[in-house]
Amino acid sequence: MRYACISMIAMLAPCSYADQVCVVPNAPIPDNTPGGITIPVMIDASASELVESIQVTLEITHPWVGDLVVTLTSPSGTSITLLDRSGIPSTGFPGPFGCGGRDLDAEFSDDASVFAEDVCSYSAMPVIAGPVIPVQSLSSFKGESALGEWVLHVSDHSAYDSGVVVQVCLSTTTTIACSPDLTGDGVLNFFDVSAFLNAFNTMNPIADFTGDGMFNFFDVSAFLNAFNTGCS
Amino acid sequence: MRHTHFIGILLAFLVAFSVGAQATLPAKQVVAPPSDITSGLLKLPDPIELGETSRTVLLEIDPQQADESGLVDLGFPFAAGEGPTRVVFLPAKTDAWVGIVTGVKDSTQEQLVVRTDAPIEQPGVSLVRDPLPWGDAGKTFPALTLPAGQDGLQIQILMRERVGGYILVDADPDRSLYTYVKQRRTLVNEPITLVSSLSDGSKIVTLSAIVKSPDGSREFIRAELDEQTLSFMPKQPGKHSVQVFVEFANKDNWPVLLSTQHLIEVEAPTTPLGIPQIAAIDQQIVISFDDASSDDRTIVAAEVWGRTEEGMVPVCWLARVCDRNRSLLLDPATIQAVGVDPRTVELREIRVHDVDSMVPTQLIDRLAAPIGPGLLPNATKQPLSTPIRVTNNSATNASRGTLPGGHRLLLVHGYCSDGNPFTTSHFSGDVAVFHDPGVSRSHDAFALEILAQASPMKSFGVAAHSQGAMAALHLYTFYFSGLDWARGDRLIQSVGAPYQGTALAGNAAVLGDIFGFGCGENTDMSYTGAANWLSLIPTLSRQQVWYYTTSFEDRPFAFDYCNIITDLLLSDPDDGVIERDRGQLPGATNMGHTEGWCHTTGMRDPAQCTDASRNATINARARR
Repeated sequence: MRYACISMIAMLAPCSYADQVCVVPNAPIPDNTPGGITIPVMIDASASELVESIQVTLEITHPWVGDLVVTLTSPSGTSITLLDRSGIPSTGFPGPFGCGGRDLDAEFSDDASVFAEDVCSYSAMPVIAGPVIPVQSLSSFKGESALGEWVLHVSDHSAYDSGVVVQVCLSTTTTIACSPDLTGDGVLNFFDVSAFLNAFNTMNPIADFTGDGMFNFFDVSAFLNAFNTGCS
Repeated sequence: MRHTHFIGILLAFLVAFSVGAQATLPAKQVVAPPSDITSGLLKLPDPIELGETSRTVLLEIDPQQADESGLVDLGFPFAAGEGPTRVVFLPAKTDAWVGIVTGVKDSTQEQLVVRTDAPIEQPGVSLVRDPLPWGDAGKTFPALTLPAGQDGLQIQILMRERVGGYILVDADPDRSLYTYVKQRRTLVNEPITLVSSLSDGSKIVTLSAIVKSPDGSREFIRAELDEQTLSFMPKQPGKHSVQVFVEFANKDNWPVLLSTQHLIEVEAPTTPLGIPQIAAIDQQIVISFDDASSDDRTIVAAEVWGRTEEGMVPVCWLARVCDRNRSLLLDPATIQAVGVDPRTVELREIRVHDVDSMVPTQLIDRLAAPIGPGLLPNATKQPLSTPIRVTNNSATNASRGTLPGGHRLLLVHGYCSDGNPFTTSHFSGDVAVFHDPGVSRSHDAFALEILAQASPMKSFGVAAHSQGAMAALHLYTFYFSGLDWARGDRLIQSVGAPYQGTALAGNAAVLGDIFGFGCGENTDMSYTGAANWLSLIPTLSRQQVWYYTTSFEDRPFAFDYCNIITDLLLSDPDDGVIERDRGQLPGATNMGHTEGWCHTTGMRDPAQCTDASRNATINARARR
């Protein structure tokens, strides 16, 4: 689901979009198989939309979350680890096989206050729940194109317990570096001009190119200057 | 309301703070709620409750007592009581002796002579042979039984070979001897006092004892006239065996001799704890004591109290296995949940126990431990909810595998076992067998051995025999292990476990110098050792135990037992090694008592771990 442009600060300032894409694979995770499974998540954005931030909401049923390694790879090939056998290594609690808690229903976010690998208890179910900080920062994706196939990789590294990836959601906030490309199709053409005029006439904030809260000549001038300058 | 949250707080704390300074062992910070303090469950028992009761006398026979023909005449008549009389001959070498017992009836001057080498033809007389349960099963000893009605006995030994040994005489006296150790702390160079009394309060004529020190030296001590106490000063740490003899007169004025046997562990003093230092580290209150002078591990335990408007109230009880660094970890949320003023916090009933012998080496009534401003967080920590025991573990019924991991039922044998006593075919699914034959370990060392052998398992439940159950409970209480992650119904199920000790511990120690100690003396299974250990096991741990006890089949008008030798040393009903009463674990689930099953193979009734019905239940209900 694409949300409206949520900010435009100044002329040529990037416009931010919030987007969330979910898939419900209900995919079994092969037990004790480092190869694991891949869950593709397509983000349909303009080529000029760059990742500002990303969050991953993940639901996995698994009787022993300490078995699991979860990574996310961007269309550009950048890969980060969200979870890496929670509780391992351990010299005490939770033990040599990691966190033995059941199920994961969490939102991986750099803005969370607890680390995913620090939440483990005998009693909580799902054992990893709510906002959690991933093993590696999701900010690694910042500035990359959001467009394309993102791949969540889930693997199980210990025998006897197996689970299912129920649902994956990627929540992205993107920016369009090329501000006159109002259609977001990566090309500056008549349709962008048309989109500007429509927005200007309806006093849509997207047309406030000077960012002064008013819709006047200077906005038209700023748009045309940007349009003529083009986007590289 | 406070109490509702308490378990959650405890669990949260238990999970959150583990090893700390304990770098090598996954030691837990054990926490118990105030109810365990007020109930008295975690208090050291009164020593007077931990004595040994005896209706028998165990006498050492020195081969030098024999005359030229090899005959030992014990010289004095043994009084007999109302019932049958039993005499067990325990030579160091099998069949080295011929035992001769002559029963005498005062009124008729009639004599009944029975021998261990002759066919028994007289009515009411029997000769049976049994091994010592902790010794070589192939080495049996003759026990003669004479019918009731004897007034006195004469006991002689004809030595075919001049070897030492013991005789055990149960003359069914109308009184029993009770002896206890007066001190809770049994330390080097501090006197140990034994207090004896007769069950009917009658007068003790003579009181004496033989003390055998760890280096093998012996000391004979004798009480002053009319005294009921004996004292000795241990000069070295280690296991001391003490045999107490009491002479009194029966109703016919015959002298009667009874004895009790004791295994007493003596420890070296530990470094005084000192004034506790309070600090806040990682959202926990760390109560640190002075470092110990050695790396010897101890269990430090204390009650935490604080003041509310209603006065001083218990907050929680803490215990932890420590090494040189001695500290307890307190969750600030427990302070806030109970609502005490942190500046008034104090520790009570502070104890330091040796982790192996369980001897309390330090006992301190009270220590102030005020928690200063700034050490508590502003907001109350959100406690976790009551634990959810997750079922439907997908691996529960998986076939046994060799891959690391697995959720298993671990069959754990007991002290000095040949191996797994359970009939393995009675168990299905993912089952593993603990294997540590022929050794004696403290509960702690045994627990760590289970931890090591279970290290390839993600989680496991335990079906345990005898000491294996205490070791499993100790592991669950004091260390993180796969027990904590097991899922299903019953975590620890036990058969024939002497949670409160067995009288055989002391007797085995006394007999040990002739027959060996089996696999070694074990003070954790003496009455005192067991009580010291139990005083460190909180309700939350005990609730994870389901236990069964058994005893011999008790037929009407028959003389029944599991092992005739141990039957003389234990109070009925017993399974040949443990008494039913001492097999109880308050706070746990008692799964009942069944007759017709004995402790091990080689006893009168089948071994208790071979009961197909019970094993099927254990298998079906086990957490794994």
